[in-house]
Formats: sequence, C-alpha cells, structure tokens
Amino acid sequence: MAKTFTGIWGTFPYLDEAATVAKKLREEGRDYSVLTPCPRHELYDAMGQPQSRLPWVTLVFGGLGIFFGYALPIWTAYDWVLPVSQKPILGIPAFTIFAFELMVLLGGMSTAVSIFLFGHLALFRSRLPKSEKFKSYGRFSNDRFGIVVRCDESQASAVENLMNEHSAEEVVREF
Amino acid sequence: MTTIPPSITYADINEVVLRTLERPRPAYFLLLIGTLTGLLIGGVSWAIQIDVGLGLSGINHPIGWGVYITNFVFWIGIGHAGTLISAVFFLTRAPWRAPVYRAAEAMTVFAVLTAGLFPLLHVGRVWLAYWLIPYPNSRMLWVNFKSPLVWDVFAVSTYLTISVTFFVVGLIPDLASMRDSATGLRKLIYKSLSFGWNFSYQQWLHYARGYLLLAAFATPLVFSVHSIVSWDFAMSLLPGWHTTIFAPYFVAGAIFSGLAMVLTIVIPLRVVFDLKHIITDHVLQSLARVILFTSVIVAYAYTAEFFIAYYSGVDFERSLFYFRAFGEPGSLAPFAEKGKMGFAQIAFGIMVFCNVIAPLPLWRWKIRNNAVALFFIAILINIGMWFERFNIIVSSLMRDFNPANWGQYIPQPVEFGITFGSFGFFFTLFILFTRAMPSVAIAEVKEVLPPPYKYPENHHGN
Repeated sequence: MAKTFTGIWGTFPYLDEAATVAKKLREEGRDYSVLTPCPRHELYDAMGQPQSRLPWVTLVFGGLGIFFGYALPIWTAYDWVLPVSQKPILGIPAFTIFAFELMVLLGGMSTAVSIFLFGHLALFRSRLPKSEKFKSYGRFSNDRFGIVVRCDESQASAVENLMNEHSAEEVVREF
Repeated sequence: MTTIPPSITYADINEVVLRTLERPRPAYFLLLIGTLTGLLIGGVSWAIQIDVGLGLSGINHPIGWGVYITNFVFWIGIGHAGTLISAVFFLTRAPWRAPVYRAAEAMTVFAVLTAGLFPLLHVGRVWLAYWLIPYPNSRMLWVNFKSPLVWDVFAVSTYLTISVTFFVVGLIPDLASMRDSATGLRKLIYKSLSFGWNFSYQQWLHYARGYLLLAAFATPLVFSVHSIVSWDFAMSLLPGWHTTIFAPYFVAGAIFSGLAMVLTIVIPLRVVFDLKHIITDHVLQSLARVILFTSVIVAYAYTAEFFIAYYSGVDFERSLFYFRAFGEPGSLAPFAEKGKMGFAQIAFGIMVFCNVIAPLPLWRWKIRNNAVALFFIAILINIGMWFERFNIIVSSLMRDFNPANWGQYIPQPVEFGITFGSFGFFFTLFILFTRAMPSVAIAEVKEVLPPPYKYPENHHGN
C-alpha cells in the first residue's frame, strides 16, 4: 500500500528557531506544516500570513439568518392578518430582533462547524506523518514546536541540515 | 502585560492543569454532597408543585411573576460575565482574562441552563412548555412575533446555543492536550471529544479566525440578551417598569452580578487546585475593578429611577417608587398599613446595601488585593442582585394604576425550595466540570505567556 506521507519532521524547543526554519522553507518554496501548542504571531508571520476563507461562510450564513429572521415573522403576519387598533401589520423594528438573533445563531453555528471542517480539509491537502512515532509524540500539545516537510528522499539532507542548524531537538526521516 | 510570572513555562501550565483532574481530596466529595442535597431539595419541591399545582406558590393575581421569574432574570444575568470575559475582553485584548476565561465560560453555560429551567417551572404545567416555541397551532395561528416574550425565547435560546458553542470550541485544543497525556479510558474519551485536533497551523489558522468571529458575534449578543430580558418589563405600561433606562440598567446589573459570581467560584477554585500562580491577585483585582465600575453604574441607575419618577410628575410613578422604598405612601395607606415595612421594602433595603454600600470598600487597593474580602463582597453582591430582580418584578406588580387591583406577595416554602435547588443545580454542574474538564484554558494561557525563545533579546515586548 502506498504511503500517504513521505518527508521529514523535526521538533523544536524554541519558537524563534522554529519560525526561522518555517520562513526559510517558505522562501525555498517547500511544502511544509507547522505544529504549535498555541497560535503565535511569529509563526504566522514566518508562514507569510496565510488567510482563512472561513469568514465567507460566516457571512453567507449570517446573511441567511437575517433573511429568515425577517421572512418568518413577515410571512406569518400576512398569513393570518390580525389588525390591532392602528398598529401596522408589519412591525419591522420588532422583527429586527429576530433578524439579529438568527444572524448570530446561524453565523455562529456555521463558524464553529467550519473551524473543524476547514482544518480537516486542509490536512487532506497537506498530510502529516502517520507513523506511530509521530502520533505518539505528545509534546506539540505541551511545550514543543514541530515542522513537517513533505519531500522526496533526494531533498531530505538539505531539510535535515536546515533543521539541525536551528536547534532541532529531534529530526525524523519517513520514507 | 501578562499577569502570570514569567518563570512559568508552557510545560508548567500543562502540568498544573492536569493536576486539577487527578483524584480529588475528600473535601471535594463533601462539597459535591452539599450541592447534590440542594439539588434534591429543589427537585422534591418542584415535584410537589407539579403534583399540587402552581397554587402552592405565592403567585396569584395581581402578582403573576414572583420568585421564579426573579430567578430567571438573576441566572441569565449571572451568565453575562462569562461572555463578557470570553468575548468582550478577548476583543479588547485584556491579558488577565485568560486564566479565568474557562471557569467563567463554564459558569455562563451552567447559569443559562439554570435560568432555562425557570420559564418551565413558572408555567406550572411543564408538559405544555413547548407552546413557547414558535410553531403554528392547530388553527395555523403563529406566536405573536411582536411580543417581548417571544423575543426572549429567541434571545435566550440563541444565547445558550452560542455560549455552548463558544465553550466547546475553546475546549477542544485543551481536550487534545489532555488526550496526549491521559491513559486508558480517559484517553479514549478525550480522543473522541477532541475531534482529531493535532495542533497543526492549518487548524490553528481557521481556529483563530473562527474564534475571533465567534467573539464578534457574542459581544453584541451579550448586550442584546439582557436588553431583551429587560424589555419583558419595559415594554409593558406598568409604573416602575415602563422606562427607557431598563436595557442599560439590566446589562450593567448583569455584568455586575456575573463578575461577582466569577469571584465566588474562582477564589475557592484557585485555593482548592493551588492555582494562585496562574489565577493571580492581579486577575482578582482586575475583576474587582470592573465590579466597582459596574456598581457605580447600578447605583446611578437606582438614583436616576427615583429622580425620573419624581421629575416626571406622574403620580403613579411617584407613588410606586415611594412604595418600593418606604411602604404605603401617606394618605393612600390604610391605617393598619401606615409605616409598615413589607417584604418588598426589606428587599429594597437589602438591594441598596449589597449593591451600593457593600462594594464601596473596593475603592481601596488593600481590599481589592485581599481574596477573602473580595469573596465576601462578591457573596453580598450576589444576594443584592437577587433582591434587585425581586424588587423590580414584584413591587411594580403589587401597585399598578388601580388601587382595587393592588395585592400582596409573600414567597412560599416551595419557591424557596426551588430557588435553593437552582443553586444546587448550578454548583453541582460546576463542581463536576472542574473534575472532568480543564478549568483553566491551557492554550489561551500559553498565548499570554512569554514563549520559549533561544534569543530572547531579539524579541522584546513579545
């Protein structure tokens, strides 16, 4: 069975060194991923400030929320007209509350779902090692930064040297 | 500025938070038994009320809203501080929020869940509570979308959903941290709950952007929810309720009471789990400053209400506000009632003392820096804010425009039992949460810590 990942991964105790490696890998045009216990702007800058398309999902669903928030009470107002003294049948200011609430509800829910959907979809494009060694390495959630480079064996030495030059604690080849 | 000592490392945070999930001390179980007892009392009281009927409570014409709606408004208000800390202070980049954000957000979820019980309790026939949901009845008549009560259903259910979502989204990286260090059954549970989180930047990128958007949604939501709750009252024409000050007044009160509840739970939490170097004195002081600020707003609102009642020249308003504070006004009082203080006036006195007088020591730095003093002031504020809700709701219903329609309201034992039970419900959920989930946000605290640099001299200010 063909392996889904070939490449090299390294662990780093220092954020600045990991960021330098990420920056150099980007400048060399390599396909890489960064692992970190928490989001850091140093890594974000080193990776060239990649943008998420997630806000578009929020915008679309938030807009749908506004639409339904107005549409439901407007439709019900006309579906069974109940005139009360001289009050207008359509109470647009009152209906704005539903538009706001449904905007928040649909926008918020879609954002939450998209955070995980987008994150997992991105991993289909940029696969991480499947080896037991990588999976059982539990320190990316603790105090270590990681860099995974997808490359063939001919490029491994260059990447390995780059990582070692920048205080990599451990460098693992997976081919 | 981070509030945590710079000597604390990323690994220390994991270790400290993991320790909170170890086998607890016997005191934990004693506390749990206490809260479960409260919950049991509440459950039994509710069962008796369902069996006998709503007549067992003190609710009767003209006081249709009593302790249950007081509790509803109180608990919704408590929830607000969690969202304020997790969303508003996130957007304003207040670094001291990180250590208490998780506990505050959990408090929000549990407080809104507790609040959600009260409309069900209040309707009496709880099996018909689904009538609150907007759906057409058998004659294709929909609910009245112009009614503040229907606004409230939408506002509170949206607030609950978004609070739970925000809470769960924030938990996932931390559950993945727990997964990586747990063994056996716990590892399996944390693995299934962490949705395959692997700490890659592909995930963090969407997470950070999505979290920001959720905070941006939650910020106006937190202000809107209690405004809408206040309109349950302000949209009516009753003296004491029909006023434009209600929305900001309720929001300030909600933040005030919610932050007091945050102190009430966080101060014991940091003692029990030895978290003093993460939930530092600076964090408590910052919370105390916001409490002080909101107490000033609340005190101003109390004063403004009385001034506007006087300045309006409307007899009904003047008479109602006199009644709230002092009892029957002058010639209107029957002889036997003259100068007699009832439950409503006692509630007013407690409200003023606890919400206006009790927070005054917080102006002194020494008091703000004293966790024990803060804890007691926070308890007093919690009590005061419950009585504020009671005072607003009940006193206006006791005295409307028509003296023939006036009435008295004395809460009955079943109402006290259910109120007690609601505190049992809230604290039971919170105590179980501290045992099962990380009560300090690991990834968020790491974000405000100085990261490990090889060349720290190149990274001043980070």
